[in-house]
Amino acid sequence: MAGTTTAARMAFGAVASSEDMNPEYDWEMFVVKEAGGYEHVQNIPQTHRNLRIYAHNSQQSNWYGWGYFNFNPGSGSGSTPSNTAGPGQYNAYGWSQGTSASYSNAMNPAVYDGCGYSNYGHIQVIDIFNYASTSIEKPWYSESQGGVGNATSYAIHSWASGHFLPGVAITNFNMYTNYGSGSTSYNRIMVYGWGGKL
Amino acid sequence: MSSNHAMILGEYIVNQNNYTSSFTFASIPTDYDVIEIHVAGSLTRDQDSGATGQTQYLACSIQDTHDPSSTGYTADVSRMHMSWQTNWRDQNKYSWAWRGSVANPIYFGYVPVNMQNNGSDTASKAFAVTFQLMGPNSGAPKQVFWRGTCSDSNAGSLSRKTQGCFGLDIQGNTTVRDWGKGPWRSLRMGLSNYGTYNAATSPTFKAGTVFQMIGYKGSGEGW
Repeated sequence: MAGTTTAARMAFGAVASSEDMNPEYDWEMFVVKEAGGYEHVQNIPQTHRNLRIYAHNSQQSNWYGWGYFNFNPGSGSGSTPSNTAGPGQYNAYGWSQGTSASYSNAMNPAVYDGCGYSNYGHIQVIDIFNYASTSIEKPWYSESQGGVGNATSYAIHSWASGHFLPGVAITNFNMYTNYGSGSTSYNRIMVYGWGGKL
Repeated sequence: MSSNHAMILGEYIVNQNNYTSSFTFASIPTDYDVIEIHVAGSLTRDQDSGATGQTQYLACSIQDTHDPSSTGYTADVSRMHMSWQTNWRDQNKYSWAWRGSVANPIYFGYVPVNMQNNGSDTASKAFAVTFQLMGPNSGAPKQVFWRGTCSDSNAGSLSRKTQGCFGLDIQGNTTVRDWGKGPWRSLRMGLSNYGTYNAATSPTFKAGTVFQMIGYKGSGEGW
């Protein structure tokens, strides 16, 4: 126990232990895969409260471009359908790019991201709350970094936020860039369920 | 070292519309290094005549300051401090910070969950907030930091990325200092409302909104 804090803690009374509360373990790995130019992840288990996606999404043709995640698209290149797409926004700030890369729309068709270049750095993290629900909105947010090279250095930080509409659970998604030239030699997708089981 | 790391410690799911406007996680365990509390879902608009498009907040209080009777202890909660920030694209960056005083008290940390909460309830609204409570057994003053999102299909310009923090101002007096340094005890999260609270017209959480408490264990003894 951390030094002098016990007395101070007990002054506020005993607190129920974790054993008494019988907690369950959190987090379950759903998917780990290499990702091509238009990667489609299907059959997401509808078992957990929230969804976490980690990704490396890069392209071969250009230092800068947009990365896209579409949810419930039904294919590798499809868009988020109208029964899922809700309001959203995004912002990207990068060296030589400034803040010109930003966009907002009441019915956001995709989760946008400033994607990386080839096998240089990029990592994106997306949380979708209540992803398996058919009755409540599904707020989400995304953050990423990318584009730091070892010859010509660019750095970009992106974030996006919004929500998906209630009524349809998130069962599949795709990932690609505006050049569609991502390669399985460096792109990766990892998907976890978290927030406990339903 | 403990082999377990992330545990679901508590969960509450709102089960009906137009009924629930607040929820409290009480008796937060102290034997975890980090506690995360997640709230995600939707809410109804404020129909009070005073609500004319202002920001809707989740008003948060800690350490039983919302409910002194649970411990018999009454802290001087007028001395809280807090800050929040919202971002829409690269525009509408707005932030606010305040340290309460006897003359100008604040009793809550405020978390924006809707940017114009008098719009039609037929518009799809959503919010999510992740609170992080660090080091319950540390002797340091405790502060909650959080990040989140809110959005409303009434207009794309109502989407925000949000972040901020709040805690007790330990410079207030000895009592507040002791309470502010104590282990996490409770977190109450309630929707603010204009006028007098009225279940029929004040904002409420929609059915399916989830409150969840997750503990992350490090050494097993608490931080």
